Amino acid sequence: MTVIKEVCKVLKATLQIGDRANDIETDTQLLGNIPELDSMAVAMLITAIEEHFDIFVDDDDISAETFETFGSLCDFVEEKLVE
Amino acid sequence: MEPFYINAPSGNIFALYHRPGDGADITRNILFIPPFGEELNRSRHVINHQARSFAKAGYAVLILDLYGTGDSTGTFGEATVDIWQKDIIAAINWLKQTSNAPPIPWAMRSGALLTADLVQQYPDITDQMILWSPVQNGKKFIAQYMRIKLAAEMTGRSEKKASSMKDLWASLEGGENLEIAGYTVSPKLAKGFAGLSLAAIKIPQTISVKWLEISSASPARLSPVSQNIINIWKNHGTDVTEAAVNDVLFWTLQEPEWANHYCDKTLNLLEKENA
Repeated sequence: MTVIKEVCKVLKATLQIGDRANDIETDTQLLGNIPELDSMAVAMLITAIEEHFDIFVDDDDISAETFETFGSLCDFVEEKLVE
Repeated sequence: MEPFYINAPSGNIFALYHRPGDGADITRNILFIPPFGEELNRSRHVINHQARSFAKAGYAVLILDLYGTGDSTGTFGEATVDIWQKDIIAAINWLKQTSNAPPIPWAMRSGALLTADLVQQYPDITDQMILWSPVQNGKKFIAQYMRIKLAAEMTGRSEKKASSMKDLWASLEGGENLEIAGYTVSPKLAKGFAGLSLAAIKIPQTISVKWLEISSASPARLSPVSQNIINIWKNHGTDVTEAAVNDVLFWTLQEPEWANHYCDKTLNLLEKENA
């Protein structure tokens, strides 16, 4: 599975958005657009991504820009995977 | 199902006791040690479902609300690792009147960390325990919890200017409580957890461990961190039976979902050990 598909899978499971996950594209806005994505969900999403991809997210990495769109989140994960 | 209060050093802690039905003999007592904060609220339905399954299978189950949580006395902000561990001991002592055999701790998430540390100090507490998705490292756990505060400031739903993780730890060091997702985390509580790490804990060889966790991988597998800890424990001579199950991370979910594979596997391992 590609990183994009896997991030979508983690998003779907963590936020319980069901079939709405099928409509997610690179430019889909996350923060402010998905009601389930409150501060607790953001923290859980980061943990879920860390565990799923076996990466470590430094707290300095966490910014509003990372969660702006689905694409920005995937880019972030891809960068971490290369590290 | 009997609700009542247990007298602990900290005050009255609330407990629910599920007995096996129809006056059946108690095979063993099981003592549930809960996870942290909101994880407990999101898990209640699964915990109660599992307790009923255990009871049907002949086990009595005591579900504890630790100090400052649920219906127990105290506030969350006053809770400490030390207080919570004394609550567990009080419950174990209460259970002595119902059975000569020691209770089996069934400890979930951060509850597993508290319990592992406790049995290291008091090896005679029990001869077996069930660990549900253990939190491996207390410092990392608190840091993950503090992320919620960072996220709140980042998502602009908080009025404070954005802090960093360093700022938050500094606040705790300075004696300030942190208000996170509706819970007051005191410096004492954070420090208490930060000092606990499963890898550093030596589980007594007299205690057999059932370690269950949830995996999204296919086939299900333990996380590398968990596997590492289990290897360390086994190398020290601890009997560990580990299992990874495909199921949902129910303690993280906003809308309740069941985790039947996870629950069934737990009962299965328990019955195998106590056949």
